[in-house]
Amino acid sequence: MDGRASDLGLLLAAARHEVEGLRDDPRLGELRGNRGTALRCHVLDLFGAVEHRMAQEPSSTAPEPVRRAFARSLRQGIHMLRGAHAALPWLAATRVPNLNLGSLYMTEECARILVGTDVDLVVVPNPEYMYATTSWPFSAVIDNTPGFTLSTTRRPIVLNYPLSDSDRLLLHPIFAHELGHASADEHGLVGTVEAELDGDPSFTAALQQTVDDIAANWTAMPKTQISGMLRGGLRDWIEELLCDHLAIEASGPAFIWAFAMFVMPLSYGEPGSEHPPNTVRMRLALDHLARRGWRPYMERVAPGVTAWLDGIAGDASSHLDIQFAFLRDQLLSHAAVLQDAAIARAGAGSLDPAASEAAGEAAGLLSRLIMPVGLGDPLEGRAILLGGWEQAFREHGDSPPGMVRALTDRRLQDLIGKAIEMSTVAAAWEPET
Amino acid sequence: MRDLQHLEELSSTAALGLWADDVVLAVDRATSSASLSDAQAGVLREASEMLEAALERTEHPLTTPKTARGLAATDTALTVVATLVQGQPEKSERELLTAMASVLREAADGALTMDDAERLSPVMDLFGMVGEHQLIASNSVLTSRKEARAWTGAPAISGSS
Repeated sequence: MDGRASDLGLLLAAARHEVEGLRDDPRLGELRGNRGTALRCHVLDLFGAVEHRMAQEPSSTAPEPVRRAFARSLRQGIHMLRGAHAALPWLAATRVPNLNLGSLYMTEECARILVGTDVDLVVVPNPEYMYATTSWPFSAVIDNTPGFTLSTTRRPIVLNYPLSDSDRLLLHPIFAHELGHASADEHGLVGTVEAELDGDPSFTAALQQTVDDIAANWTAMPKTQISGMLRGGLRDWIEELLCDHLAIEASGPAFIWAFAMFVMPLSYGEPGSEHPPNTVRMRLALDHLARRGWRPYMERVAPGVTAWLDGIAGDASSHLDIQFAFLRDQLLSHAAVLQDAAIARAGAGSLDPAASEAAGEAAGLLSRLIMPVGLGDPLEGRAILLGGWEQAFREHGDSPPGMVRALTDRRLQDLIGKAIEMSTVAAAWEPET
Repeated sequence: MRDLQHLEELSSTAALGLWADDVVLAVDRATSSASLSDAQAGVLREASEMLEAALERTEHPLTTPKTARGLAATDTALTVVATLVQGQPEKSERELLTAMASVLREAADGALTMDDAERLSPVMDLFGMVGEHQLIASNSVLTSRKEARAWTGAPAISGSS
């Protein structure tokens, strides 16, 4: 039986062993500079929370359910400590940054716009070919430790990117989508959108109808469960779509081009439990870009690619199973709510179509193999990246295969990265008076 | 894609289990001669509110808690209560939820009498079962870490390990 003295003895020793092993790891040592320090504090807070629980050992005469509950809490703590091993390579990555410096500066700018200023951005290469993010990875456990006090309130954000993409700047607007997850969490954006939907009687009626229709077919599933499943799916899809919209606010059309290159080779109109079909994402993204005035620019610099994306978006209404069709239909009909939430969050930090002039200047310089920092004042980093895409269409073709070829153009992307780096430094430079 | 290592999922799964086990410990404290700390009283109050939210869901299926944690907690509680009711056919899920929410609130307010210990026994059972459920779920999260879903939502092919 778990919770016996021998079981508790094992668990306390094992938890202590895990904490000591992690604390002794050199990767968890003090960091120079600011990068990674909030993540390190967050990991140390996890150890503190687990140790706080370890000290609550019940007496040997405590009832069996109490001893078993304590044993389970130690096992959960050990799960978390083992999970914390994943943070060690992240901390190591802060000592040896691998990402293109220009891209890092631009991503930090996006983090400030979308999430806020009090963030610790840790960008980590990933051996898997995947972009991913996590933020406050252990907070649920730390926050749920009664009597334990946090040592940091600065949000750690870990961005994973494929190791092979460290210099593929044209794809890096995807980072803005990933930062969107931290933004949605920090600012309660999913709840904001959901509240708008809940206030619309047509949404409530559709939800009721969908629950009834599903219950008629899946008779073993109670309506509470069906409703909970739909609600969970709705929240996940809202979050993903918000991230797309936030990335559009931060990066303009560069996001939709990067997004298309990353996702379209993998799937087309297939829904996922957490992700809407790409057809739906494309439709909503194009609608958002049109509302923000980007459509003329897209049609001017990449008419062929824009037509291709329109074709994908045109398939957004294809057949889906009932639960996914409900989510799709509701989110398409409430597209403005998603857009409004992203526009309000990005505020003055949004990339305006006026940046297309600077993008054009950057593209012109790139066409002559000149680093596009700007002929007068330094160009804004996000406009340089947009200009990079503009030049990519010119040089490699206004077509999906042309976009793929552009991703392999190291020279172009090196120039873009270096120019963003230089323009960031130049903009921040304050000459002595 | 969120959380390639599934750490946030593991953390929220474990947190719900830890909270359920904290309820068990606080219930035990409430029935002993020792005084209840503010934190433990808060845990009991939260547990009562969670059961009330679960009750609300049985009465109005479209009503769902606003937070992911609330949704997960009430989902699990409803599953466990359905199991408990199978062993007590004379009681309905709603009666059980109402009775447990009530005694938890009394415990949080320090209004229990010695006779109430028996009323708290099913509460300990319920939250103990939630704790067990969540420990199993934590194990599942860890084993699924190698089966990450792609950023696009298309299921990835699982490794053989």
